[in-house]
Parts: sequence; C-alpha cells; structure tokens
Amino acid sequence: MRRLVILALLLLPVLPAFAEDEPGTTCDLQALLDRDDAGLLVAYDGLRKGLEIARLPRVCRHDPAPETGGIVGFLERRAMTVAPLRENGGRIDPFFAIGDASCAAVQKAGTNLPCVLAVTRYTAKREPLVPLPRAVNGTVVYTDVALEQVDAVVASMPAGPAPLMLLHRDPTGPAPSFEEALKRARKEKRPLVSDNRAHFGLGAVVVLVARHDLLGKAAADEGRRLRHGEQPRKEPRAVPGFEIWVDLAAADAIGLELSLSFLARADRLRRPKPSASGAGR
Amino acid sequence: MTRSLVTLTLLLVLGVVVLLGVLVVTWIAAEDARASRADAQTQQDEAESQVRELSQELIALSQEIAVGLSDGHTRRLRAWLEQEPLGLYRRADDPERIDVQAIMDAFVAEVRTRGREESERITVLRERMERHIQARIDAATATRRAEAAAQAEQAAADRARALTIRLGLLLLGMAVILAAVLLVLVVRPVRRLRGAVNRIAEGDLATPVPPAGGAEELRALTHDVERMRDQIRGATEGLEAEVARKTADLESTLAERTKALEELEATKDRLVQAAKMAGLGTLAGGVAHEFNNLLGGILGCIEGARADSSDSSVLEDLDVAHKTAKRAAVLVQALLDVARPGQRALAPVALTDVVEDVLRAARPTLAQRGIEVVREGDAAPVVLGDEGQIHQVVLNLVTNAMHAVDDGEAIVIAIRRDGAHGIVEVRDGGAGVAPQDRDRVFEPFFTGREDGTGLGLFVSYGIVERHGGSIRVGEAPEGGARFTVAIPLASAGD
Repeated sequence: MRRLVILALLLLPVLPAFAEDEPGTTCDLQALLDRDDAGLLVAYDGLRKGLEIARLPRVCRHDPAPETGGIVGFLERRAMTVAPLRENGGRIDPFFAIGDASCAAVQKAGTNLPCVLAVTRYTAKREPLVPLPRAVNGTVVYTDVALEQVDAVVASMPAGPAPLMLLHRDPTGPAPSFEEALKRARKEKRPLVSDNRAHFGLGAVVVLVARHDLLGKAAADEGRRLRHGEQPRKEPRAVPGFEIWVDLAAADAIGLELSLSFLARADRLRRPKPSASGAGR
Repeated sequence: MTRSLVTLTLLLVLGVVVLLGVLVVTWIAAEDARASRADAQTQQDEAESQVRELSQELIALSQEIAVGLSDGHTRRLRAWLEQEPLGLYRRADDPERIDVQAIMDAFVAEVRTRGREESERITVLRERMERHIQARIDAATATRRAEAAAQAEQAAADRARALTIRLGLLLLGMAVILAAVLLVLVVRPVRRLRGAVNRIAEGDLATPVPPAGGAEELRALTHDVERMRDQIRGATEGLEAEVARKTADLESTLAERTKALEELEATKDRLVQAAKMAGLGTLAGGVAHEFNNLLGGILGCIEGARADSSDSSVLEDLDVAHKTAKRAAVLVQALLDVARPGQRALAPVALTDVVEDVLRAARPTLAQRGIEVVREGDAAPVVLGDEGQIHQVVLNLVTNAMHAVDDGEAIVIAIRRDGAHGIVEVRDGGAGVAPQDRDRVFEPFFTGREDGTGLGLFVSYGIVERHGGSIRVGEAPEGGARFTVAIPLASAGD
C-alpha cells in the first residue's frame, strides 16, 4: 500500500486532471508554480476551481524554461505583451505565483505587473516566522498555520511517548528528511507528526494540513479583484487554520492507541487495512 | 442417675459428639448457604456496579465523540462559510452582485463532500468504538474475574477463620457443659465422699457419710465408706474403753503407791522426829534432873536465908531469887515431864469439852484483844488420853495463835473426826511458819517470840506422841499457821 502511495505521489506532478493543464489548452491567465510540493499543487487546483467559480478565464501553469530566461524572461515577455494594453488603458490580467521559490523570483525581478503571490507560513502570535514575499503591484495571500494551534493539537494527543515533530517551519529552506524522521520514530515507537500532506499514508501518524485549497481560491479571488481593476491589498491576505489528518494504520503499527475523542476531532481518518478474519474490529 | 459411671461417661461423650457433629454440620451448611448468597450478591452488586460504571464511561465517551463529531462538522462548515472567498460568486451579468444560488450550490456541494467524509469518519470511529468497548469489556471482565477470584479466596479464608473460631467456641461450650455434668455427677459426689473420709481420718466418727448421689459406683463407694466408718467407730470405742479402764487402774495403783509413799515418808519423818525428840528429851531430862537437884539446894538455901534475915532489902532480894528459882523449877519440871513422863491413867476425853475449857480460860485475853474465835466442825470426837495433858496441848496451840494474830483478828478452831483419830486444828492469820522452820518448830527452845521459852510446842509434841497421836504444822488458808493434832479415838464409834 505504501509503495502504491509513493508511486502515486511520484506521478502526481504529471497527472493532468489534478494539477496539470490539458494539452492544447488556451489560457489567458498564467500561474508560476514551484515543483514537488503537494500542498502547492492543491493550491493550484483551488486556484483553478476559484477562477471557474468566478467565471474567469482558465489558468494554465507556466513553467518558464531556463533557456528562455526563466521567470525573469517570462516577466519581460509578459511586460512586452501587456504594454499596449497598459498604454491604451486596457485591462491587464494578473498572473499568479504559487510557492516561495516562484514568489521570490517575482520579488527579485521587481516587476510592476499585477500579480498574486501565494505561499505558506507558520505564525507565532499572528506574526509569520519567515517574512512574506512582497509584490510591487500585487497581493500576497498565505496559509496561516499558527504554532499555538499546533501545540494544542499535540497536547491533545493521548499520553505516551512524545511525538516526533517534522515541521517545515521555514519553507524557503531545505525540507527535513522524512525518511530519517520516520525511521527514528519507528525505532523509538514515537508518533510522527508532519505538516506535509504528502506524508499522509507513508507512516506519519498525524499530518497537519494547511488549507491550500482555500489558498488557491483566495488567490483566485484576489486575481478577480485585480482583473476588475481594483488596487492590490496593502496587507497580505491570510487563510487561517489547518486540518488534522490521522493515519490509524501508522498508529497501530507502533501500538499507539489514540483516544476516540481525538479521532472525533480529526478531519480525515485513514483506516488500516481490514484483516480477513475480522479480528480488527 | 442410677447408671454406672462408665455407661454414664460413654453416653455423655457419645451425646456430646453427636450434638457437636449435628451442630457443626448444621452450622457449616447454614454458613455456606449464607456465604454463598452473600458472595453471589456481592459479585452481582460489583458486576452491576462495574457495568454501570462502564456504561457511564461509554456513554460519556459516546457523548464526547458525538460532540466531537458535531463540533468538527460544524467547525468545518462554518470555516467554509467564513473563509470561502465569496467574491468569487459574483453574478456574471452583474459583477457587483453576489450569486447567492451559486453560493448555495457550492455550500451544498461542500456539505455533500463533508458528509461523505463524515460518514467515513463515523464508520472509522464506530469501528474504533466497538474495539474500544470490546477492550474495555475484556479488561473489565478480566478485572472482575481477578477480583472475584481474590474475593473468593478472601471469603474462603474468612470462612475458614470464622469456622475455626466458631468451632472453637462450640468446643469450648461443649467442654463447659461436659465439665458441668462431670462436676455434678462425679466431682461433687467425690468431693463430698473425700470430705467424709477426711473427717474419718481426723477422728470424727460420729458424723455419718452423706449420700454421694451420682453414679452407681460412687453410691457403692459411699456405702462402703459408711460401713468402714461404723467398723472403725466400733473398734475405736472398744479400744477407748479398754484404755480408760487401764488408765483408771494405773491411776488407782499410782494413787495407792503415792499414798503409801506419803505414809512411808510421814512415818519416816515421824520416826526421825521421834528419834530426834527422844534424844532431845533424854538430854533435856538429864539436864533437868541435875538442875532440879541444884534448884532444890538453891531453894533450900533461900529458905534458910529468909528465915535468918530480917533486913527488908535482903528479904526483898531473896523473894526475887526465890521466885526466879521457882520459875526455873517449873521449866525443869516441864522438861522432866517430857523426858520421864509418869504413868497416868488414860480415859475418854471429849475434844469439844477440852476446847471449851481452853477457850473459857483464855476468854479474858481474847476479849481484851478483841480476837474472834471461829469454830468449825460439828463432830464431837472422844479420844483416849490424859485430859489435863490434852488440855495443855490445845492451850499451847491457842496461846500461840493468839500471839500470832493482831488485835481484832480471828483464829479458827476446827474439830473433826478423821478415821480412827480425833482432830483438833488451830489456824490463824498471822505470819505463819516458814517452810524451812517447820521441822524445827517442835524442838526445845525454838521460838519466834522474844518472850517465848521455846518449850510449849516441844512439850505438846511429847504429850501427843505419848498419846499415840501426831502433831503437824502447815500453812493455813487464812495465810498464817495451821497446827493439826490427831489423837486416837477412844472407840471406833467416837
């Protein structure tokens, strides 16, 4: 089962129905997206749904090739494309950047094109642990995962061995090694708590999942505003909250008995594979 | 009560054993039934309590889960409503207006989606709940079994302890009853019998042995002891009579021998006294004879001088010398009378008459000094003797008594008959005669008075001896001297 999940995750970036555009699709809106991040893919999917709900043009993921100048080249070409519209006072569609790498590149380019930057951040006392990106003529939206709420969730877990926390608090830096953390957790019989939804089903007992779908919809809403000529927000737009996903199979694997009240609060439960004899009632 | 001791004991032991067995079996059965009911009730109560606690726990858990599910569902839908960008739902024809229907459609879709997730979550929770309940039931069952086993073990231990205690009390009660029965049937009769035997051993043969009661053996033993007491009492009484008779014989023999010894002693004393007095009489007689001759010459010379002298002073001196010589002649004559008594005719003499004559002669002096004479005895013995000499003896004794007492006191004169002798006893309340002087009081010239001659009792002794009688001195009941004179009666009838 775990191998199947891993295979599915590896194939996820190339699945057209989920995060990739269908070949030959004509897109008026473009989105820059970091690779290899399940949460950002969900955010991109939310963006597409949001735009669809708002009856806006479709959005396509644009992956600028290095030989064409990368994101800088993309921005230069787009600036050239919308220059006539700007001179004529026409409507300029915004573009979207999802993920820290893409947003950092846009910020670095210093473009004044309308845009929406979407990232994920941990906050403590309502302040992001890592500075948010800035846009000259755009709006920043971010998923706000409060550390206080994370601590509350961990505290509500049943007494026993202390959970092993695998949190990517600084998404601009390298991601911690999930394999090493999982190995250590299994060795020490400790429940692994992760904030990467891709780890759900791979051994993490609890996964704290940011609201990436809402992040994408919020980005779509901000894109709608910009497209309708509204000024970008001066303050970043936060998408608070996160979901609690619990993998009962992973808990059973280390003999951890989670309380039913904790399970009742979970937003998603992953059932272990039922045994043939039905002994797992 | 008429059964033998062995039979009684066997019946008693058998009865105690049967009673004990019945009581123990009955008690154990009742105790087991009670304990079983109590244990079952306890088990049921505790099981019900545990089921109740488990039910409450599960109900609380179910409520908590239901609340959690409800809260989660509500929270998620509320979050959708709060966080869903409603700006996306503007109408296409009028972007300034919100397409409410679109929002409702989206919300319904969200609800459906969440509903499927909720259903899945409920399924998982139900499975976990069932597993949890099963685990709790298994744990509670195991706990209950362990507690039941422990309680059963404790109950068994308590029951064994209670059984031991009650059995001990039962045995103690049986022992008390058995002891009481033995006390009544055996111990007390034996104790009474033992008391009777002890009384017999201590010499009390008059008290009959009380009926022992109890077993037949004891009654027979009591009868035997009573028979033994009768035999011992008969033998003892015969032995005591024989001892009394022997004792009386011994006492009689002893009295006779004592009397004979006393008589022998008295005879010896008298013989010694007689020999001594005889010697003294002979000596005194010889001296008196010579003095009598000398006094005859002295008196003759005095007579001649008186006739030849006319000087009054000489005559006066010669009269004094003559009187003194005459008094000496009287003393000498008295000594001669003791030493060489003359042959005098003996005749019956009434002692009372003699005493009366003496008292008549002494009456002036008695009256002058106020001395009372007490007469004792109403006998009138008549002795055989010389009345004048007997008169002199009584007069000497009365005179000594009058000298012994003070004025106004009394003297006692008793006359009686003792066997073949007539007795005259003179007692006074004076100083008496010391025991060491009693053997010498009859010697010549032994006197306790300054003006005495010491010849009165000596002369009296000679007179009584010549009469075949005796004279003794002793201590009077009045505290003074007692002189007893015994003279043979004139005839046995006197």
